Amino acid sequence: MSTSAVLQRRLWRDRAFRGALAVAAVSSAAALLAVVAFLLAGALPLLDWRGPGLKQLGTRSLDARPRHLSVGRPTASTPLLDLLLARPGVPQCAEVGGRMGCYRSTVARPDLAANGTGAQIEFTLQRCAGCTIAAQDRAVAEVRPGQVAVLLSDKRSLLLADSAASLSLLRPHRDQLGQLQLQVEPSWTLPGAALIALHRIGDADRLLAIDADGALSLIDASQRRWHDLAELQVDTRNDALFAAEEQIFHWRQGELRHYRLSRLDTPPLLDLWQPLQVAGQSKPAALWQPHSDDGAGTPRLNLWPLLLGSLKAALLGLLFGAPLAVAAAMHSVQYRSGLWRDGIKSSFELMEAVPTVILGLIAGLWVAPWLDQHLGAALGAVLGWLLLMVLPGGDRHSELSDRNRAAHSLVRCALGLMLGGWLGSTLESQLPGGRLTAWMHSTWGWSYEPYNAVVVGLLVGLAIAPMIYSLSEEALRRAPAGLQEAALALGASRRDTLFGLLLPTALPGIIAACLLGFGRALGETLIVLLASNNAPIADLNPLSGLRSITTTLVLEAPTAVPGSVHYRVLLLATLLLMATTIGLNLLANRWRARMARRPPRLRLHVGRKQ
Amino acid sequence: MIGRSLERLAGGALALLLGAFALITAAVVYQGIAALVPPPLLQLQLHGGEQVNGLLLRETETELELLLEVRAAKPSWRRLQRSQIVHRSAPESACLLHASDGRIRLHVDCTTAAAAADPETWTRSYPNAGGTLALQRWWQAARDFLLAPVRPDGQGGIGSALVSTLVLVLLMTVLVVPLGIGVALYLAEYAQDTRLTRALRLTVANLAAVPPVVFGLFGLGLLVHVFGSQLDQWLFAERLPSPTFATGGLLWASLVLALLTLPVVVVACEQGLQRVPMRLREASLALGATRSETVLRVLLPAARPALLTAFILAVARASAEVAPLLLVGAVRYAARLPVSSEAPFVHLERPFMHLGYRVLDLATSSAGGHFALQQAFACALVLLLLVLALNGAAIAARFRLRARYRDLGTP
Repeated sequence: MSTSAVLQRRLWRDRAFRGALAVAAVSSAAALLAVVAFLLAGALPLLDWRGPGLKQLGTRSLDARPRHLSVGRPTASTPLLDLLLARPGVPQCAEVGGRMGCYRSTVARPDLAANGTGAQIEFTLQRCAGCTIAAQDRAVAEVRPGQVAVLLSDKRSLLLADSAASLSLLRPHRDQLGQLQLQVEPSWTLPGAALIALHRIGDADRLLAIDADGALSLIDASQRRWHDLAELQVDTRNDALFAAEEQIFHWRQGELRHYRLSRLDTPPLLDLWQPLQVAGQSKPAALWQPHSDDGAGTPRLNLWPLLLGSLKAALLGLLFGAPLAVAAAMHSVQYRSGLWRDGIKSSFELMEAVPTVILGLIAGLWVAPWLDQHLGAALGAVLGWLLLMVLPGGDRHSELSDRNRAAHSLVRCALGLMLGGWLGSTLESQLPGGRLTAWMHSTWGWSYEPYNAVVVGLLVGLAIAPMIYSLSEEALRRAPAGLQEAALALGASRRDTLFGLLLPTALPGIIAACLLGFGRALGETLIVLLASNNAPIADLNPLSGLRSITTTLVLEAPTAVPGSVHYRVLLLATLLLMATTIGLNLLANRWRARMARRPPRLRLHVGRKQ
Repeated sequence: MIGRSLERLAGGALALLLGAFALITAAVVYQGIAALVPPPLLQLQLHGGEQVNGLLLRETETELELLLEVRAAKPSWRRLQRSQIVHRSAPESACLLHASDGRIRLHVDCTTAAAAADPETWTRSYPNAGGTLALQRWWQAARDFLLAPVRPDGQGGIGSALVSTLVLVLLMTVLVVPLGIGVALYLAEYAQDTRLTRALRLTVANLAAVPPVVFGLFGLGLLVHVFGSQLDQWLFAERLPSPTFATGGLLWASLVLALLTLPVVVVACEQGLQRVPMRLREASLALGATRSETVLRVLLPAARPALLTAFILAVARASAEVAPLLLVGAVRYAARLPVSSEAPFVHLERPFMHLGYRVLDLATSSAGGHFALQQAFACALVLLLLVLALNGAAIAARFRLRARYRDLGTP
């Protein structure tokens, strides 16, 4: 083989190698883009702020007014009534748990009914076919005239809409004596004119409503929400309308239009943030109930509880972890011997490697129950530690030799913790009840949930501390050695150099470390899973439980049906989480770059009188 | 004054953090070892003449909890107040009879004829005996903990979980290490400072910022639900509707872990490559080697310790991570291991058991009670030792690396 051929082959190999490396680099970058694209694609229908709407599929000319489109057929004289009340006396029956539950409207007083002022609605429960109905299986409620009603998907509740466009729920239930009662639950009002027809669509409690002005809207009965369907306006006197499942046919002046309800399942983006009025609750609440169990159909997916949960855990984690870690880094740059430095650094690296499931195990099995019983001792230990650290003595701390400094810190720390803990537990046992948590509850009304955000924060703080430590220590060490030596040569003490030189130089790096730690805390899963009660509560109270986005993913994603609203909302929450952590990462990078770029403004007062 | 206090506080913070770490490690080690020591068999004389024999499960200041018997997978417990007890002894001759189906019987005196149960079905152990028998007992317990087959309720030996974890991590390594080294080589050696390469660098760096569980969701949503079901339709149509790849399994889990550890590998390799002195590259190029030859024959051998560190760090990170696995195929009980002596040897589609998942499962399952918690700690101990040993190895390798570069003459 000629030399040039060999050379050719070598060059070709070189190019191929380079190409392969470039492919590797691009594909690994593509992995992140793939994750983002997957989340975006999944959550995209939710990002549509419009909510449900109507889509016109086609038109056909049809001269004669179709007769079978008579369900919603309005005439000039009678309002467009629902099937039930339009034909009084015809029972509307549905099987309820093996029994037949029937609604029918009865005329309470024929003289009043003739004037169109009053009627009654009766619910009966038939235990078997052809049985006589016992008195206790019969319930009656007054209804006003002009109301429209529709049977909901639980096959026993009626939604009533009256002339003031206010909606109320009629629900049969048994009182203590076993007598069936019909209870009218508090109403809520729609904007716009009186409703003249209601029609249920599909299995969930979604209702198509037409008001007196001919405007269509879609009502979600279980969530008490509605969306206007502005695409279609009906002339209630002359048009005909027919709805079946998601299809809507509308006849007007010789033309039949075919519509389909689109985006029926997807709530508009805003609905994921708005509190929800639920039957039986006095106030609207931010609820996360992906499988609503009261039979009312659609899941309640409010993102606030999850976001606040994640935020609560991460903020408390940062609050506990960051000061300790930064302080520890500040302390450890004082160590001069390589052995101590490397030893401390390596211990923190090992600490970072501890699987979070183990931290969670300890939090759930020990820390949470122990804190519940001995909160006083814990608070005492913290105060004792603080006090003993601040107490004067050992002024030449930073000038001490490495070993003495370490021993000094360790002894003070242990003494403070033990004395404070002992004092705290002694004081706690003097309290009525013997437990600080019980006493707090009885005195101030603070309820202490054993698996609360503080426990989560403590352990999350411990999990992120090593990372913050490593990054801040690196930043502190990166301060130019020349400046440091110059300061020392000018007579500055080690403490002056630390606070006047090292800290200002490293500040951007430390801030970056905290940001990265915060991002890490947001993504923490197992500690939150094991140390909290996983209750989706939308508050920022550190003594109550929480449920973060990450734990929700772990708990719910395996069973969520792909493509369902629940699944999409999970993806959206993940997208938010990921956007936050990546944003924090980018921000941290900028801070670190700033540290390299811009020299700090130093104010070093050497030889200051103490 | 404030400066001084702050200074001391900083020392306290360091002590506190390291102390907490030491405490956690010590607690896990203690509990994990204690879980392997079988409890003593007590003979208790109560007020009123009643006599109770049982294995001591838990002892608090006021009460004792005893296991009396396990009959057909149904343990019977008894809780006694300390004040009820007149006399307490732990006779050396007491023995425990285990049946292979999990039944347990206790005898205070095993020398009597009553205890001479059928030796074929019952194995005998002496929980109170001292000396070599005690050592033997501990050895037996440790062996059981490692080797006993796992039971469908998630308890039993951890051997199969350990093997599955190792297989998973090895598979992940096979995927991530070549890719990671390639990316690091490209970024360190080839990429010029253009806008495109800066974007590339930024994207790879941001992979590290993605929470692990997000990768799990990605694995579940895209790999399992989309790719998996597509694969099933192409290759395993005859098994449908029962899923083959359209459910969590070894392959998807290792892919997810590979994504997760990619930044670790890239960063560690890149740092190692940057430390290789420039003159090695220059010398190699000057001698007429192509760039690829320089990289393959000079740079990579010189940076070998860094590559080793990257490998160890990736393994350590992957074996400590549990959250994404919850979404892509870690199960409480898998009847079959993901490796076998049958044809494909590594069964990529099988769900697998995992040490970390087992800790989580045992800690949260309400069924096992005290036993489950003890087991959880024993598992946690194994996991902790594994992870700490790996990280320790990485740290040691880094010190070696530093010494080596010092010899090569880089700062």
